[in-house]
Amino acid sequence: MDSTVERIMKFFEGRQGIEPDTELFGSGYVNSLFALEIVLFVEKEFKIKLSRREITRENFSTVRRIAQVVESHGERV
Amino acid sequence: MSIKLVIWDLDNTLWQGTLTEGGGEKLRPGVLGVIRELDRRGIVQSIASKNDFAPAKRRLESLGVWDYFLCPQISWGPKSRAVRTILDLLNIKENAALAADDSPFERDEIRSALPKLLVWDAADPGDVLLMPEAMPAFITEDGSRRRLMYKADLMRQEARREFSGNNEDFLKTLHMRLTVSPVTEEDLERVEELTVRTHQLNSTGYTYSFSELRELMTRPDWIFRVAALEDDYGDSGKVGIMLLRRQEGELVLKLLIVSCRVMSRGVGSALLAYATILAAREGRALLAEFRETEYNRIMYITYKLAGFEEQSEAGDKLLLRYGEGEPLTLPDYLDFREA
Repeated sequence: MDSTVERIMKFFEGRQGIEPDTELFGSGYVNSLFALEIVLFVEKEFKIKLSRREITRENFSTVRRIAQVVESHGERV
Repeated sequence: MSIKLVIWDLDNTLWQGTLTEGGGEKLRPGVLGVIRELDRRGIVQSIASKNDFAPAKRRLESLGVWDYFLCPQISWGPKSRAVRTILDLLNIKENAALAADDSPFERDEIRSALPKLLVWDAADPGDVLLMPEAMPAFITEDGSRRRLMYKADLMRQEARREFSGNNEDFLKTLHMRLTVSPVTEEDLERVEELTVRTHQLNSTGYTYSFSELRELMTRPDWIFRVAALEDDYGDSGKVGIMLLRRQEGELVLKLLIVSCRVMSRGVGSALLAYATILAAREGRALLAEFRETEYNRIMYITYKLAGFEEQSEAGDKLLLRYGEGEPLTLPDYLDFREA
């Protein structure tokens, strides 16, 4: 079974230089179109719907941070 | 809710009789006029029929109507699956579509899978033209070209499936040109149509009447822009609206609308970046109004991840503030022009 981080990393296949701790927004990797795609990918991949409060730049700043959000989301349900 | 799409059954709905039993030699009386009129109104059409694809296609061609239909689903699978495929391909919501089918069984099957979709027996084909849902307030230039634009979009989707790289690299291959210009009188009908037709990419869900829009056009404290998009596959026409208001030291984005048809092409991000640039030019802080509707969550996500933070909430209206010091950079997958 893949870890949460590995499952999110699948989204970045074919994109160079993105590691679990790469800053996505500061690095120029992410424009807002791409950011929207990440949110929609994560929701589909983990079958969750993030709340308004969870959708922040900070929560999507790195792959590892996204994984934490996904995992804490799972615990509450 | 106005409808954007009519999905036709073939046997005993579009044409007389059953194709596999030697029927289908003629369209039912009145059907041709209905097909042409829906097309003129900018309501696109497709087919969900249980038949073999090749002979049904040949018959539609010899009847001279094949070109009217987008992504026809002709196979022996369940009707509801065919309908859902069409909705997905065209990115149209189930409550903005009507399925015409003579069979009560098929209508029930569609209704049980897609409860918000309108179903209709097409007993008198002309009836559809009288439904209020099928009467746009205006028939705009974009409306009558809409079928061709959807066709171009189906070709883009096909190209996307064949392209192995990431989405931005694919978008670069389209050579998009996005031109933003001040609204003119001639744009207003299309602007009103966009406010009525667009739900997923509408920041507040507000609709404005023609006369309200005309008034806003003349106000010096408002900035009112339309965005037109073209690329190698064709001209998509006017696809976006931005309405901003200067208020003290701030610039408030009152309305941002992007046509659902171009949702996957990054136009919303580009317009949002442009708004941050406008605000920076005037030395104002940028705020954006957002009102949650049943469909516009994508807009909220776009704002938040572009660097907007919630500032205050009043009733159902949320005020977001762009919190980054620097304006956003215009995306490099399109050529942005200010007219």
